[in-house]
Amino acid sequence: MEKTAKKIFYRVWPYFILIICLTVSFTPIVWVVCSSLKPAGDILTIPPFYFPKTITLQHYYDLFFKRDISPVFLNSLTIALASTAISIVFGTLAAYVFARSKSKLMDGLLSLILTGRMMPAVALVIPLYMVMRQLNLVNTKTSLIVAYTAMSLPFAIYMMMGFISQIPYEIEESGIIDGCSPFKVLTLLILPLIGAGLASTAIFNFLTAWNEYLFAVIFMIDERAKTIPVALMAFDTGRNTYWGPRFALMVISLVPATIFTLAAQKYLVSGVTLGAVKG
Amino acid sequence: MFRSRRRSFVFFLLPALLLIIFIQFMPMGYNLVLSFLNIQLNKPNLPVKFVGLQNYFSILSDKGFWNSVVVTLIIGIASTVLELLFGLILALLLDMKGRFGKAPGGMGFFRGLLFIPYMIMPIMVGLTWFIFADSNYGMLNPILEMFGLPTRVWFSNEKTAIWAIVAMDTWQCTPMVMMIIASGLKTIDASLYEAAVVDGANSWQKFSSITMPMLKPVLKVAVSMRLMDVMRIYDTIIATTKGGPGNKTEAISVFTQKLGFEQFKTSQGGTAALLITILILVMSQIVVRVFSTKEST
Repeated sequence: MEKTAKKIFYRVWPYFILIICLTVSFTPIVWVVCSSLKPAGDILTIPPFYFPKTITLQHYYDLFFKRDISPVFLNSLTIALASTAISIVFGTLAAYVFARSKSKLMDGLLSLILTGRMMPAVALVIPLYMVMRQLNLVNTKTSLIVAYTAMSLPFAIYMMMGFISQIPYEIEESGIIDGCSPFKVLTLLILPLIGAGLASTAIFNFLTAWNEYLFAVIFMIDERAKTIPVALMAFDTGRNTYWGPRFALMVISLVPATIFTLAAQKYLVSGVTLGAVKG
Repeated sequence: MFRSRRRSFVFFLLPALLLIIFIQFMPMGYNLVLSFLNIQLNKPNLPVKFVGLQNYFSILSDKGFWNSVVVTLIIGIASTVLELLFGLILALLLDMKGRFGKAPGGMGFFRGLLFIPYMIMPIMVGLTWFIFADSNYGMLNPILEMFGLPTRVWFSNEKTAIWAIVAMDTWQCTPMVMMIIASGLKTIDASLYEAAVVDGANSWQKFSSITMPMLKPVLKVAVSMRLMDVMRIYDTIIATTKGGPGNKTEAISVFTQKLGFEQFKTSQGGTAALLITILILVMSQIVVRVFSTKEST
């Protein structure tokens, strides 16, 4: 009897620890989801309780119809999509050059670009705000799109470089011999082969823009220009904090993160760690 | 044919290069210019004049500045160490296929779910923990009491506030370290372990003599990456303590932002911004030299 118990324990203990870690990870998140479904009187109670006693969608309704969160949502979406698209296009083009040319100049340039990744957002936001003010771009989506694209570029270049260098040169050679311009080589021959890499880079760039707070809160002062992270913080008006709709918005903002992670998990792992493992 | 290829390359490179120069390098130059002037955003009519190194002296003699450096270093090092520890344990757990003869099912499922916290908006992570750990309305303390663990007013207590920030960053970023190490583990040749078993090695010896040495480059990458990222921590602090109580959790990002946008001392903010960028670059060079065995590109 004891031997079987021991056997089971030996087979099961990794799962046991993993489940504990999963619980630590998800307990706060699930509580937020539960709280978003509780009626207003049940949300901040002393003592607090975990699962909702009655379920209501009141806060979600409030969010969309009373507080008009749609423009905020659209802002975040537009800005994230635009900056992702542009950074992928510019980044892949540049990555192709870096992957296929070997010279000291290129190495130096690449190091310079990758250093850019280490600039803290705070250091850039003060001068950029001054610039945006002079260009009359404060409160416009353009200001954030430009900023996020530039912020995502070093990462995009680094990732795409890794993926492109995995494609053997012979494939390009045959294209060049046939008279293809470099642009054709890139788009017709190489791009189809690095679909997974493109996808994972795109996902990370999207989330960088979607999740960003500092630039958004400094550049977008107008109510209707806000993005989701800014709106989340704005529920605290100083006199009152509206946790009901705040919880609802938090749950909504979870959706992209969850979908992307679960749908693209394999690509994310291979993408991010490609550079890491190869050194 | 070569010349047109090179011309295409220049066109390919140009857009990315221009954007990066405009958004990341030009502002640094602007900071440099700002640091020698006396610009204050809330005093637009103040006559602009060259003040030499005055801003630098005032920042470098500001106790708040050095406090923020210390706070950031504490958060950075503690978070990185914890994330490395937990990430390593989790990665090893997820990789336990050799032990039982076949890969236990469901590991991919766990890995996916465990990774989700890393993708969540840092502002939301901050707000989630802020309300979850609230001493009146949050579930954290009741749960801790159930297990007989101590409870505190986590974010308002002077002693625990900074560790609450460390805990949040660990909670969010351990999955990333776990992923990096897990991929590193996959590249270790299984035959090495088989040979060790033939030679009579036990689990601990397999770990210390094969796994750890082979993981060194991966661990170094993980450390440098996390350290650099966590030095720039901002959102989670703003969503919870806003630098308080007092300035116990005022990391350098928070300090600089307050200087520039709450006190509106724009030139001083630019000076601080420049100084912390130099600090981060110096740290990254130190980390690269101490930890790295080969260049990353």
